[in-house]
Parts: sequence; structure tokens; C-alpha cells
Amino acid sequence: MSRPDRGGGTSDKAVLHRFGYAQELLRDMGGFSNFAISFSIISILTGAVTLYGVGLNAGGPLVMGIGWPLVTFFVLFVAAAMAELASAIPTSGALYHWASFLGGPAWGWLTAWLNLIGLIAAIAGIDYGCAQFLTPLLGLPETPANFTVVFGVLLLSHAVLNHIGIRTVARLNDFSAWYHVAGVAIVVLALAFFAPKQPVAYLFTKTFTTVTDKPYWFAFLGGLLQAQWTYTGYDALAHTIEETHNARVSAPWGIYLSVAISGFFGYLMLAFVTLAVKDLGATSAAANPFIYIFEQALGSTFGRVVLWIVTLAMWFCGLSCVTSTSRMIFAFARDRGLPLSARWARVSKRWRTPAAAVWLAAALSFFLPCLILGLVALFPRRLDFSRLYPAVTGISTIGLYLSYGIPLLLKLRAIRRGVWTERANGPWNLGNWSVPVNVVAVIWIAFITVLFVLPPNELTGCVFAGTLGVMLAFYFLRVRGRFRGPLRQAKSQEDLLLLEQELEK
Amino acid sequence: MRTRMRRVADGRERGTRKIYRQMIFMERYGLIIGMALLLSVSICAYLLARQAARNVKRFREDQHESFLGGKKP
Repeated sequence: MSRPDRGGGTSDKAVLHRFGYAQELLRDMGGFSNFAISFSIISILTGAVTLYGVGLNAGGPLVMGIGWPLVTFFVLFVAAAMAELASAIPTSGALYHWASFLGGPAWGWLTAWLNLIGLIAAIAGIDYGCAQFLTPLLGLPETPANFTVVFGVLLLSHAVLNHIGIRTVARLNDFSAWYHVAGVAIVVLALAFFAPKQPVAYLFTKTFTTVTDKPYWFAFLGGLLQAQWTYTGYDALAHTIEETHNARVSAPWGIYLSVAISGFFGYLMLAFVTLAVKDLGATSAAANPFIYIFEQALGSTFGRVVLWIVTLAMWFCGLSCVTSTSRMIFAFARDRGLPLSARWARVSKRWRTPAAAVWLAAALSFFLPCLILGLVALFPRRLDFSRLYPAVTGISTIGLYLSYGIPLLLKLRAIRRGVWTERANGPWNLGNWSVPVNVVAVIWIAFITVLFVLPPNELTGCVFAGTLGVMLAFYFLRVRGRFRGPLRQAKSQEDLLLLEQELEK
Repeated sequence: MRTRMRRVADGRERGTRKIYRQMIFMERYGLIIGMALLLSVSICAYLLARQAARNVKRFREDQHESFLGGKKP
């Protein structure tokens, strides 16, 4: 067995061999790069800004002052529970592998598809949103055709960078982490020094809603989508775990800290922005309330500067999301879980990246908004793009969180049956706190899944239920009995070493 | 209708008794609830991190086997 690493287990490669996989991807990411990829996907400058209007219209300043920390509180439990599993089972398949080991191939297959749907919807949501911001900044007319072209170019840039190497992407992600912190600092300092401010109590006591047909608490809960959508994608760390040094300790810390640090900086930013609101009614009615606040408080030039800062943050967020999705596709294809698996599991010999999976992730993400636009063009009277598109963010949130929840639930079941004992834990574990933390995480996931399909998000529910129905039909008709879950690439360690030598040639 | 929605939203005119009660409650106790929540989040984040850090340290001292059955190095 190889020499012990800093995590106290065996070396990263030896641990991977135990799971039956060869070290195919280049293990070149340090702990900070690994953290940066998740921090970039959470991207407080993307989620919190693009859905600021949703939160403000639903529950007013209270959604920022109380809603954000409330969601952070529960997401910390989800992140801690996921970090434990990442430390115990450090493979790129991540959630899907965890579910397969704990519940069998059927659970693994379902988790993989939910995760994949969530990730594809997330890329589409982020990059199309970025295109909607970038198109007017470039001076182009705001038409669906222009949005689609810009969206395609953004995706192309992400795919090329992900194709040519994890080293480049890791450097960009490192920069992105500092960029996000600097972006928040610019926003906060500018508002702190130059904008008029409301009293701090405004954040916690100012009730406001544009929803009049439902109780205030219900509208407030709907506004939590803003924070909950922001806190998605931090499973990226688990997907890139085979490319991380000291993976069993670095990756779990990355998952947990990316949520905790995003929570802190996100709150700081939202608090200062909300305290700079002059006219609540006019702000909530603006096309982009976040930018409107800046324009009102600091002038249109600074509003434009913030728009550029946010747009670039979205680009970084999309880049990390493509990285994460491609690793997920690679791992699932490696276990023959996808149609044409052999093709998608190919690794570029030159770059040591899952090149085919990268391009598939980009292509599927491009296809989703095109499909929506096509449907709107076919049924212009029945469908409205402005209503269909937010459903994408809802689908992304629900798909991702259900895929987070399934392995956590299965772990609780395994603990109850005595299958999962203390010896199964990785170095990063919560000990006796594990069960209560997992229980809280699962309850929160169940709660938000129901919450985000209730009116006015019933469209998300319908689309998601339809997709789930198709998936289950496909499983029972074509997959059941054929898919066996994670497959060992070779029977012995010698064979795995041979596979690795082949790649290094 | 839109004007009335805004007025309800601004709190100048309350649409229903339920909305009125909940809004008044938050206006009275919101600051306390908010501060308590912020404190809870901070303490919870710290305690979870401390628990994990302790276990990482313990793991280094007492190396565990994988639940897949790998042998102790």
C-alpha cells in the first residue's frame, strides 16, 4: 500500500484503486482550487443578483435579512452531510456513486439522472442569463436570436477551456474565487461610503410583498428560491475529486467552506444593497431591481460597472458548471449508465480531460433553451418564454437537491440497518453528530422540493413531474436489469496500473 | 388593482387580517428574530467545522479502513 497522505488515509491513487478505478484524469488541483470551483458555482454574484427581484417581490427586505441566513443555516447541514460522503467515497461519480453503493444501481441511476438534469439546467440558466446581461452591454439588440448566439459563444468558450485542461480551468477558478470576493467588496464599500442608507432594523422588520392573494408567510417562503438557487452546484467539488490532491480531506472542507463563506459574503452584499433601497415599490417593479438600486444610489455609470462585474462572475460560474457536469457525465458513462457510454467516457490523451463529456455537456445545455424557444415559436399563444425560463432555475434547484438528498437518505437507512458503521467514514466526518445532521438535511430538502413546486411555481412542478415520469418509464423499459451501477475498471491493481501507463504513453 | 397591490405591499392598506397580523408581528419582533438567527448560523457553522476538524485529527492518529474492505496500511 502507498505511503499515507496528510489526510491520514492512503494516497489518493491507492484509494481510487480500492474502488476499482484507474487514475485517468490528471490530479493537479490543490485544496484552494478545489474550493474555488464550488465557490465559483455557488457564485453569490450570479444567483443572489439575478433572482434578487424574485426575493424582493415575494417578501421584501425580510427575504434578504432573515431569508438568506435561514437558508444558509439549513444548507450548512446539507453541505456537511455531503462532505462526509465525499470523504468516504472519493470518486468523480460522487452523488451517483454514493447512492449506488448505499442503495443499489436503481437508486444510483435515478440520482445520476436527477443530478445531470439539474446540472444541465443550471448551465443553461447561468449562461443564458449571462447572455441576457451581455447582449445589451455589447450594444446588440435584445432579441431571442442575439441572446441565443451570445449564449452559444459563451458555451463554446467554456467547452474549449475545459477541453484544453484542468490546469487552465483551475487557474481561472482560483482567480474567480478572488474575483467574487473583490466584486462583493466593491459593491459593499461603494454602498457603505457613497449611498444613503436605511436603518439596520429595515432588514428585519420591513414587510413587503406584491403577492396579495396569499398570506405573507407563504409569499416569504416562495422568496427563499433566491437563496436556495444560489446555493446549488457545490457538489462540483465531489465531481472533481479525482483531480484533487489529498482529496479525502480537501474536498469535504471545500464543500463545507464554500457554503459557509458564500453565506457570509452573500449576506454582507445583500444587506448593504437592501439598505440602499430608496423606494421599495419602484425598486420591486424595476426590470432588474439589483441594478436599479445602484443606479438610484450611485448613478447609471456605476450601475453599468456593477452589471459588468456581475456578467463576468456569471461567465466564471458557467465555466465551473461545465467542469462539474462533464465529470459527472464522464463518471456515469464510465459505468455504462448513458447511451453511447464508450464515447462519452473517452479521455483526451493529450490533455487528460474528459473531452467528449465536456462537449456533450455544452451541447445539451445549448439544446435546452433552444428547445424552449422552439416550443414558444410553435405555440406562441399558449407559451410565454418569460414564464418558461424561470422554470429552468426551479428545475435545476429541485433536480440538484433531490440528487443531494437521495444518498443522504440512503446513508441514514444504511446506518439504521447497521451496514454503515463508523469504520465506513472517511477522515472528514461528524462522528455522533452525523445522524442528526443528515436528518435535518433530508427534511430541509423534502421541504424545499415541495415548496418550489407550489403556486406560483406550478409550471416547474409540471415540467419536473413530466421529466421524472419519462425517466422512470425509460428505466423500467430499457435500463432495469442491464445497468449494474459503478463498475470496476479492472480486477487487480496491476491491471489498473497498466491502464494508467497506457494513458501516460 | 396594481395600485392596490402596491398599497397592500407597502403596508399602507392591509388586504386581509392574516397579512396584517403577520406583518405587525415581524415589525415588532423581526430585529430580535434576525439577530438570534444570525447568531445561530454563526455558532452552528463553527461547531460543525470544529467537530469535523477534531475527527480529521483523530483519523490521522487512528487510520481507518474503507467500508469497502481495504486492508489497514
